[in-house]
Amino acid sequence: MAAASPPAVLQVSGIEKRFGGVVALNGASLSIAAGKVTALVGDNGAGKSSLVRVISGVFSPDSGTIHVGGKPVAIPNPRAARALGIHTVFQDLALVGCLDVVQNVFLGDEVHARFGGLRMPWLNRGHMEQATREALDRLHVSTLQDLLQPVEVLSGGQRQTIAIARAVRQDARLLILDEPTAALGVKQSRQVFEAVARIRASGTAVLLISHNLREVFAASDYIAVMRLGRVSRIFETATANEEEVVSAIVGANRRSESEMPGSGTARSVEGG
Amino acid sequence: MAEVPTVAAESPAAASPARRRAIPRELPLLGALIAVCIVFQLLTGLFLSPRNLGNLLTEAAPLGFVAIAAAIMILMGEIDLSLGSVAGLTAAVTAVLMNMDVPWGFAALAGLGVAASIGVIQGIIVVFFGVRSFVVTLAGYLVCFGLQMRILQPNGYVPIPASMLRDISTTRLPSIPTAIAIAAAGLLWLLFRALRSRPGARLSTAATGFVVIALAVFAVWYLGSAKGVPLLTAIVLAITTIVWFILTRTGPGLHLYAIGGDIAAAEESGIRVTLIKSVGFVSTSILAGMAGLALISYTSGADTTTGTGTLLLAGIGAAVVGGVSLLGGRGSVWGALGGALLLAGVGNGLNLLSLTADMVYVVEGLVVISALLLDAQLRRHLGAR
Ligand SMILES: Nc1ncnc2c1ncn2[C@@H]1O[C@H](COP(=O)(O)OP(=O)(O)OP(=O)(O)O)[C@@H](O)[C@H]1O
Ligand SMILES: [Mg+2]
Repeated sequence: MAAASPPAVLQVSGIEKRFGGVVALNGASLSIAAGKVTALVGDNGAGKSSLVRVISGVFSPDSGTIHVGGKPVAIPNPRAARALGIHTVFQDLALVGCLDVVQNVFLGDEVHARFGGLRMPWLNRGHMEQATREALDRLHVSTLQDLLQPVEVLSGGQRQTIAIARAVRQDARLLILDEPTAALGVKQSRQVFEAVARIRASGTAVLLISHNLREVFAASDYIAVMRLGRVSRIFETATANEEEVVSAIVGANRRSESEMPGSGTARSVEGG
Repeated sequence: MAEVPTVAAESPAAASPARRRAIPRELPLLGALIAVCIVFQLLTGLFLSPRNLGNLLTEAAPLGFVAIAAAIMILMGEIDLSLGSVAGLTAAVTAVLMNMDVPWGFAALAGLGVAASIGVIQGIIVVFFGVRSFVVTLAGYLVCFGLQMRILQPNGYVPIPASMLRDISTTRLPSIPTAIAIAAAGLLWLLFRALRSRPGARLSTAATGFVVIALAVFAVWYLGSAKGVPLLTAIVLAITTIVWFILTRTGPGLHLYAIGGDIAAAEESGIRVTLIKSVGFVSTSILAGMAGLALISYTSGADTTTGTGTLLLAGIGAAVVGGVSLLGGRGSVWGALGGALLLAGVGNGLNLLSLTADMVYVVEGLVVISALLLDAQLRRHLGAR
């Protein structure tokens, strides 16, 4: 599999992150391929969101390395992640309730007014409103008419859609979705996965976190299983069956965990 | 799948209730301001006279500065209890320097420099060491108050020599040029707004704009029949406009609201939280320093009560009365300024009724509470946040 797999957009290896006594990440290693959807699954508290936060520059890891496009990088903050083409829908959505839809979609990445090519200190609301509308249209969102209302008055699903629109507004090298459909209805979930398929087809790598194995099997190319702060197994979706994945998640088969067929890939990353 | 078209057909209608705008947070304030004007005019007969309004506006300036500073702090999710004594310390430093024959401009700059450095120190302790701003600024309040008393020894009072600084509080702007300037600036701004707004909204934009300009020109003309618009008021308005512009029209301003609204989301969005917060601490201390300068100008000197007493609490009260939510992220500096005007108006009216100072405190406290009660009631009934 390692030989046939497409070039890795991002490789993390040996990532460790501790919060006081809690070990959130315990040597997690993962390689994410361009133009593929890699699903990251695991029990609650397995460390999925922590790994996402490290890759997105929210947490700096205690140890471990990150390679983007084959080059070692540091991702000290979310701006650095965005500059590397890594866009993320966080599990908590990272929306500010008192700001409106447009302000949230462009938060931390605002477009300034220009005057004869010169960047003005004030913002270009009109442009951002237009771009927000376009991003929402691309997700086929029709239930959001008023982009000037604070997001705190919106429903959970609408907010999730806004967070997704924000992440897919620009072309990404890696799109990370941390449980993107947790609050969505059937129709909206389908639209998100259609969008994911389009994004994947454009050559973007997608890291998808979900507890819904049916979704995972339908949408992913690889399934990486996290347990106790590390990636314990990696399956190729086409040849995996649901039972194997479930037992990897709950760690039912202790023996297979110590052998860790998937970690062979991870180790070779560490070695190289 | 027959239900899908139904849902789609329903969705524009379903979206329309959500379009209903929340009531403006400043609405109760506006009501209270009008009520205060009517009540005191009826009781005293001279509350609304141009002469008294001019005095009221001058008196309100220091509180206005502190209210804006308090609003910025609360908007970014922090609190600053040192604003009053930073004002006092700035006043003391400036007054003492002026008595050492330092030109007033340099003395004032030095005073503001002291204020800024206190902001830097408090900001660093809060932002980089993670100590609560409540505790840090409470300590800062004590330190500044102590320094203020120390500097003003041995008399506890230092008058300032005749200077432009002293004259600022008595200077009034000539009404005709002021009115023309306001009308010209207002019309230019209106033209700019109308050109940029959607064709459908142009008429209403223009109409509201004309009303505002007309009101402003009327106010200038009305105050002109006594001595004119106080220069201090013009300065406060100019600074409020600048702060409002930065907060609502620029990236860093928006980020300040975001930090106060949801700091975790702000961090995940890549906002420079530490930088913005530090700048917030420094700028509010400078605004407090400006309050101190306004106070020495108004009282022609600094003493140990300058900036102490109710200035800080009235400033925070003014911000909250003006619709700045203590939860952070919600409200505007114009509301805070209006709140300052309300509290200063109540104080002024009670003075006209020759109520003693002790009772003025009591009534001001009651005004803050009633405004908040009214606000809470309105929000509950109208379902707004
Ligand atoms: N900021 C933090 N402070 C302290 N502990 C944390 C923090 N973030 C995560 N942890 C801990 O790290 C561990 C992994 O959490 P993480 O959120 O990564 O799990 P997860 O796999 O995303 O779980 P879920 O499926 O519930 O989202 C948990 O034990 C959690 O308590
Ligand atoms: Mg998680």
